[in-house]
Amino acid sequence: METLSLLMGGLSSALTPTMLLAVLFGTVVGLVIGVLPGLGPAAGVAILLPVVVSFDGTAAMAALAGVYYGAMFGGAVTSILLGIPGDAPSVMTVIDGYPLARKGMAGPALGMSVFASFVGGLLGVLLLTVLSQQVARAALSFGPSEMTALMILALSLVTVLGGTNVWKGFIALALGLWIGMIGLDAMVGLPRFTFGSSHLLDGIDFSVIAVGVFGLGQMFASLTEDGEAATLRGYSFRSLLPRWSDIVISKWDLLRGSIIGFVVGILPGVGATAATILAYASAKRLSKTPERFGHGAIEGVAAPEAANNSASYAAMIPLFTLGIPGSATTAVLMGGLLMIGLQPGPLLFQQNPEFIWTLFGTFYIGNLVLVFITILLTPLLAATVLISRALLYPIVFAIVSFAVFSLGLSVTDVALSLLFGVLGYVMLRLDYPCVPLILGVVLGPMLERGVRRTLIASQGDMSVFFERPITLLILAATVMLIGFSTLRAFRQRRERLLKAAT
Amino acid sequence: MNVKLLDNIVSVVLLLVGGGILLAAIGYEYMPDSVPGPGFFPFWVGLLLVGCVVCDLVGRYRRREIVTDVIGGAEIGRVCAIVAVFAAMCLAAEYAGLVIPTAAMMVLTGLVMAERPVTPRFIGKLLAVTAGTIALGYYVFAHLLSVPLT
Repeated sequence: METLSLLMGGLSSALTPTMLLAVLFGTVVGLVIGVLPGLGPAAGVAILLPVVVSFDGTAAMAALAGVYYGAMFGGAVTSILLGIPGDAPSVMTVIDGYPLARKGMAGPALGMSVFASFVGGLLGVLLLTVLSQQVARAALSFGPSEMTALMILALSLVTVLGGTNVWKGFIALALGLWIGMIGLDAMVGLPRFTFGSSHLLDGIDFSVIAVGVFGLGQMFASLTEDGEAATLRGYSFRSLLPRWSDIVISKWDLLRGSIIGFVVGILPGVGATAATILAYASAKRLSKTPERFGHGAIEGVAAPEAANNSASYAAMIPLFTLGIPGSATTAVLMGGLLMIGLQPGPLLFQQNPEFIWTLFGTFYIGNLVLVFITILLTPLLAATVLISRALLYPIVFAIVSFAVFSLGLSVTDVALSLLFGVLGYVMLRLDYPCVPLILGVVLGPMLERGVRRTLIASQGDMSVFFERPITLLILAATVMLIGFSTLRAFRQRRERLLKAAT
Repeated sequence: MNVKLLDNIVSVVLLLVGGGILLAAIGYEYMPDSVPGPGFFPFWVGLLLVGCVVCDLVGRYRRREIVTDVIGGAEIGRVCAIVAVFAAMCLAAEYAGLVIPTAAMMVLTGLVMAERPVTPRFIGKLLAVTAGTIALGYYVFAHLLSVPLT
């Protein structure tokens, strides 16, 4: 009952013109970003970060979150129409969505993707509303040593998020930790790694790094990719509505996909892509006619799209309740929270309940609004892929320049974002994962403060980290996570060697 | 450029960066009065960086990776050209404000990325898009958000 009354309060706060405009703005931008191949939700949130930072705090987060789940809606458009996934979680939608389009059934496929996204999003936001307070209450028993252990666990996610080469993952993490240290030391005020620059005394703004590494870096890496020439037919409004028969066929896949998406999405480091793969696999395995999958089975669109959107809400639970970003996009969202002066974690629910419940209210509204916007805008969104990169990228570069400049009214920030763009490009080309870098930038300063404060209070006695049971549990989980990942890597290497030998 | 060569160059650069972090950390005070000082965290980060780069290099050498991936000249050329245009825009913006240099950057970037041969029709579209974006950007940032762009 308490949750319901809090949610009702949040919904009424979310229905103000400012909040509705912020949600509309974020979801439309997210839809466009999701449609564009090469720019995922992380890039979209990062690019919009310097723009929304001047909004009111809750409106800013509502807009950024709108970009996130809007991009999940939009990613299916190019997957279905062109066979090009708009972002990584949309990859599974290509498998059956594109064959459906080639059979002349792009309308029903798009309609199902919109409906599945709505169902997955609705279930995801319902579970988010119900579970997040419970998780936050449990997390209130966390003290400084527990939070420090949690930061170490979050950083050890590099073993999961670090791609195929774990060493490169840790290298990216170390770089991120170093970048996070640039500026005045928080405890004694000593300038560190500022190279004599007064501009760097305040450190490097998070959105400068995120825009550079994710936005510009990805764009530099896709400069020479040729887009397939699209041949689109016009789609009427009616043809984009889901067919009742398709909904009946896919009802269990919609529910299963949503649940799988939520359960997998809540796990830090796993992400929406894994959720869509599992949802698709389960839909195929449980189907009475699995041979249809891969050739235009509507369930093959329904399951991954439901999982995709459910996972995007689930990923916000560890972010808001524990302060652990479990994916690239939530890491950037976390930066957004910090920029508006809010510390994610269990105290967020206690100290800023209005913010949290208003934000949850905007999720319900945004999810509903997206259905109508997507159906209305899909023909226009589909036309966006026809725009040449030679025209599109200059537009994005210009917006990035204005937006980054507006952060600190300094061209130095724009130059820094370019530098990080080059870094992001090199990392992408050499298979250095970018997410650990962001983890290091965001979590590193918190970890350093936590460790130093704890050790100062205990006069340098390290045993303080091993005295509390929850801390020990979290540290044990960290060791297990690293151990399992190392074992998995060794096993995969052995299999590769055996395969090569035979 | 061969990817393996670039990877090795980057590894050397990272080793130097890690070494620099370690040296700086020693100068920042590691453990004054038995509690972690400003050099504590940088020391361990520098060590982590150096250690991981060495492990990665050793791993690659032991696997005797045969990497045939190449970053084509066209890609390197385009990236370098666009980075140069962006950098020139930043330099010009220090003296001329952000609006005109950004407009110039848009046109030059579009020309670098355009398919060859560049047609007058494309140039027309590019100029129209540039004018529209700058106008909209100026309205949103300078007018609505009061950001001094000029």
